[in-house]
Amino acid sequence: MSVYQAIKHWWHKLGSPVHFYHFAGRHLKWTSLLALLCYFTGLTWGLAFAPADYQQGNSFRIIYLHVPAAALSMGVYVSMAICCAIGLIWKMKLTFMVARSLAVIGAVFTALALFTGSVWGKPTWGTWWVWDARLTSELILLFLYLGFISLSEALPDRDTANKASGILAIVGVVNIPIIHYSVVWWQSLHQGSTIFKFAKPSIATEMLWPLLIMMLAFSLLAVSYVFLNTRTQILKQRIKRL
Amino acid sequence: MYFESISELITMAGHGKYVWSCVTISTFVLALVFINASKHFNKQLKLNTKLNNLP
Repeated sequence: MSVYQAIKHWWHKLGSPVHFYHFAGRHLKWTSLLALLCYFTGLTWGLAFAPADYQQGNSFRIIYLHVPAAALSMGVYVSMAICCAIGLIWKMKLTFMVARSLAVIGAVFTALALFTGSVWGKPTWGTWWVWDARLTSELILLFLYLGFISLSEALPDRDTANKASGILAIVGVVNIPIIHYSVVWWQSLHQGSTIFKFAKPSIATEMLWPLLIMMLAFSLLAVSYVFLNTRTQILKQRIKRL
Repeated sequence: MYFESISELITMAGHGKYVWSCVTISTFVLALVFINASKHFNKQLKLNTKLNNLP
């Protein structure tokens, strides 16, 4: 079997809800366990062992929750839009189920990014909230997630709901570069990028390692949630058909 | 450990209330999301088993 044929075979298999149900079931335990391990390791390291920031003091430790939540809120949105595009082009229903799972965890990450950012803002900027480009565009991202969830649940016909919510997800991708470059394009209270830039990260190694572990933890949490919630949706669909 | 004592770790030189509130609420919310998803899955699985149509 050639590599192309192997990829095609794998792709077709993954598009089958039954195959995905078993695949996710087999891997869910490991992704969840690894996510928990990374979450508590990264958090303990960041909170108790990493040095304090020379300007912000100990409030900087919120970075270990804020940055992974914010980065994943954008990453999850792009993945959701890709799933919707695949679903719209190749008429794969499974990808819409994955997109709906991604929307829920993405909305949670966005809400957490906004909350932790707001709490971090108080000791750093002296205010909980400013109508700044970065904060406002992240808030719009939360509304996009909520709009996607509402639209996919509100319409009674599944195909119409998939199409409408899929188009919303794809159009909403325009907000992602706006969030990322908002600190470059406009005057902002929010600090510039620390690790997601085309240069060496401007953070000390002792602070960077726990942050990378937390990024991995949040990524694994997203994967675990997608596995769990998509399995639920597959079961729901089966029950509906009976 | 970076801090000299546990009380220093808790107070974090005045920043403890900001840091620990973020940690507590984030962990609680994430745990709630997963517990809720697991409950929902188990409910659907039971219903599916009841209808004698195991995956």
